[in-house]
Amino acid sequence: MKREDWQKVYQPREGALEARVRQTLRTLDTRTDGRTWTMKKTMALALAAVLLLGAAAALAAGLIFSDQVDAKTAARQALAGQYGFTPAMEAFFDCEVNEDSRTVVFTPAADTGAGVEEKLGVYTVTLGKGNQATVSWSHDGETIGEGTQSPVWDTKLLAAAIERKAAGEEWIDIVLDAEQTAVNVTPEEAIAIARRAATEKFGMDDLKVLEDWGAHLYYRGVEKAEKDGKGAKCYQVRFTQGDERGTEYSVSLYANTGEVFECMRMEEEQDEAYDADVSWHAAPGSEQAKALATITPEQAAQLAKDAAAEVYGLSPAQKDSMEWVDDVAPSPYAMAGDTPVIQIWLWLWQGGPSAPFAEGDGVYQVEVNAQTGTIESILYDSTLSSNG
Amino acid sequence: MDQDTFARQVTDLQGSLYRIAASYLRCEGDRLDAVAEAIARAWEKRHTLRDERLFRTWITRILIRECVNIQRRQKRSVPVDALPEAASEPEDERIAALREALAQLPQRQRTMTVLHYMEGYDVREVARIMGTTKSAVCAGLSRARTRLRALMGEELE
Repeated sequence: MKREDWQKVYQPREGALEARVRQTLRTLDTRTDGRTWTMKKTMALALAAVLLLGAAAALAAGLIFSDQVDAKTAARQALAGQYGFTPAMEAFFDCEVNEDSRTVVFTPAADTGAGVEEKLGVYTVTLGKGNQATVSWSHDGETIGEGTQSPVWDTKLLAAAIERKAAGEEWIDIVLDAEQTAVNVTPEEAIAIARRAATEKFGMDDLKVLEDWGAHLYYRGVEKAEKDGKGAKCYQVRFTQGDERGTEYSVSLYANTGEVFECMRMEEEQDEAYDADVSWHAAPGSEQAKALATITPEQAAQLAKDAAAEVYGLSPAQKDSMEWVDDVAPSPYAMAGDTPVIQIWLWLWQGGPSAPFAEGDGVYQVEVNAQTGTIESILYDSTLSSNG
Repeated sequence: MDQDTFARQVTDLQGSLYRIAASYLRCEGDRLDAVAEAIARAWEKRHTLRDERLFRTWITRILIRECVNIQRRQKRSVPVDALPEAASEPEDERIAALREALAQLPQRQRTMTVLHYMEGYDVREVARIMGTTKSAVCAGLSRARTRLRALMGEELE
């Protein structure tokens, strides 16, 4: 079937899509240029003074946070008080602050490896005057099951799951019944089974296992494993013909029974150099931001550490253990709308690379205003929502 | 990225964005909402796009996030086959059959199928868009093909 035929499957009413897109594009002019908070007047005056005084004075002014950071901090505190929300849970949510910095919404991130976004619900915080905050959860009032098989996870269940993940379990084991994840087939047996299947299907007698793949153990999607109950752990074995790495063949089998459920010829992939070519580029506007900067990346990194420690309550020892990862991108400079920023990535893993997760561990992404030193945004990712 | 370039790229991709939204959302109104919101959010976040060559993949990820947000805001659950696609004119039976068959696929398989067969993303791009591994995409596409073949009684390639 041609692609044009596939595309006929989903067609809007004539003109409806074009009209909606045109309307949306017309309203872009009324939107902000990428920042969803407004400057407080007093802060604006302070920053204007700081700009006049120059870089040294900017740093001497101490930590200044944007309205967005303040709003998220207040929201996080409100959720902690009402629902027991912890910083480690932030990795499972995307956080959006609305334009007037009065509403903060935590929505389950769709791209975690945990596959639990359906269970988590949406947390909404509305900030009032002073320390007033109204919090709500989209699953308020619903029955919470016992254990991680519950269709709805409150923060208590999420915390229990995080504890298991931090201790070394994989998400597929945490979310599914543990009986479904046995591995009874050895890698050698998996390769033998896969070779037989591929040879039978494709008539090849010179298949060679890819050296950099072997019998790869992976976890199938939770939804599918729940449906067919066949076990969530699977092997994938990939072959190529003879000594040439051309067309590849892939065989997947259940790791508990050895049953082959997939045997296919892999489509040719683009050159791996493509990744290196398109991903390793400086952010747009990095040269412009660098030209406008009055703060060095080193100074920004120190501000970022101070900010992360203050916002997330890290100890002096934790702050000192943070490592500035300065090779995430070719340049730390970027333009955020009209604002030159320095993007700092900080890594903390107490106890060393092979140590289990400890409170505070993870990645802190901080954007520092390259002229004023204001902390424009700060994100914390415990990395616990990912597999591996 | 200036606004003219952004508008041009979005206009070129609008059909694709709609079809991808259709893999998540059942009614046309929701799909149009998702596309509109994704465009607006992409404009707001354009400074985060590191390479304009990746615009298509980048805005698709934003769209998928919007689709998931809309799904979550909808409290009621509507059976997949309760809202047939509105056709204003007689259509190929095969197309209608494919639409019904796609509706029977699990969400992730349906979206992988749309991204790969309908929109031409390769396996690596699908994996990047959906935040999963290439192995998972290959497995998902394979299972989707098998299921579609069984439902439609024919090979689709």
